[in-house]
Amino acid sequence: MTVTSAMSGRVVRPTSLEEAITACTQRPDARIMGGGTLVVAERALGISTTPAYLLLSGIPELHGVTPGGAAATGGPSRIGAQTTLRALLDAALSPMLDVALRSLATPQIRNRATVGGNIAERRPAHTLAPCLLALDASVGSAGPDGTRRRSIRDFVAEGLGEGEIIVDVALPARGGFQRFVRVAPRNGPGYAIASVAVSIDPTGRSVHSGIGGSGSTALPGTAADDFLAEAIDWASGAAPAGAAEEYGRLLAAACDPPTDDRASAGYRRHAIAVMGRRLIEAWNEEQQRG
Amino acid sequence: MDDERINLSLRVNGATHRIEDAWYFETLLSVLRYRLALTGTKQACETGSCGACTVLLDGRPINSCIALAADVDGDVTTIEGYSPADGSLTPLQEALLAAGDVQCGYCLPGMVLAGSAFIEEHPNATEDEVREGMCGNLCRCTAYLSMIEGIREASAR
Repeated sequence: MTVTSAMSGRVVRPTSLEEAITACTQRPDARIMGGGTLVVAERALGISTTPAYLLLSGIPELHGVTPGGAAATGGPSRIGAQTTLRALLDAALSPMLDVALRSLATPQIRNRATVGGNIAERRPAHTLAPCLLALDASVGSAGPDGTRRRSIRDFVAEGLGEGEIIVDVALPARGGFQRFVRVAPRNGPGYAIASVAVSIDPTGRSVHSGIGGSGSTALPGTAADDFLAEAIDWASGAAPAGAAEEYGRLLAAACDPPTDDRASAGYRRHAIAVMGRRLIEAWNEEQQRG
Repeated sequence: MDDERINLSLRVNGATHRIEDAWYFETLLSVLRYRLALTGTKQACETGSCGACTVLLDGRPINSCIALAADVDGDVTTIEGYSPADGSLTPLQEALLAAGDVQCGYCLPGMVLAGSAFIEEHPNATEDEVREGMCGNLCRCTAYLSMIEGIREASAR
């Protein structure tokens, strides 16, 4: 064992959730750290000179994936906040997550970076939140006022409270079509400029999507999803002509993209519309092939 | 300030090391190179982008430049620990040498360690698998084709 509970006032490594919540209150200036891949890199870049670190790696209940049951009948899968991205990939919970995680950084980073760390600060370029929106996930958290569970929609809108940490992510059983696509400067590692995740579940007759890189946080494509769920003839499994185009338009309308050194707001909005349309076209093709 | 210094212990290449007076923000890379004199682990980007600092933690590759030393719990293997003590080469190192993947050599310790974990999980790897699996290691001499060839060759042994 490297450390037990506290190494100094500046490095605190709690071994239980209770200890962690207390430590958050006692040391509010500490940066909470999952795997540290972002936090330590930011220190090297001079972006952050955190006076203290609160390490979450020593809390057993935050680790690991518990797979749920089959689509429609089974319970949710539980993903502990300290689960590494590699462990989540290995758990093979969803075809969407498989593609998204393989595009997320490098094997070295995935062996260290955590699920909680990827979503905690609600950074718009991070990969997981759009996928979790499309998979209709929920986020469990704990803080000085106790524990709570919120939909990922509420989580991306509100974020964590003072002294609150993520405990887990729950994924409901969900079948059918699941895709994640992105535009990025290259196919290799690096943040996406914009991304779209869509899931269409014929059993639950629901459509959910998430948009990355095109707002101050990941965004749900609620208006587009409601439109498509209404437009699809679920009995035959077909969407009317023009539905894919309209879906893309509504997704783009939900965005509030920035203009930065990577792309303009107009480029991002256009990319979201094209990715949204193509995803629904791909779903239509899959339906026709049967 | 005194509380900026911490003591910690690390297991590296099979031995336990007690590190006194490390900075609380010190990285694993810094401890390996400057406190344990294991300079085979290379320092380059310091942001987890290039893979030159790759070491194995419990057999899996990580970027030691963005691992907080205080948060490393497990067995660390550096290139010094991976390479046979008698100075011979592992089959992977031989395959990379034979493929011509050694120019300036700066990326090589990281390549070898990431590659060793990769071939463990990918026997008879395809070119696409190597390209994806080795995407965390950059080579500024751009010897990528010989790297791919060497790793494929080693994965088939």
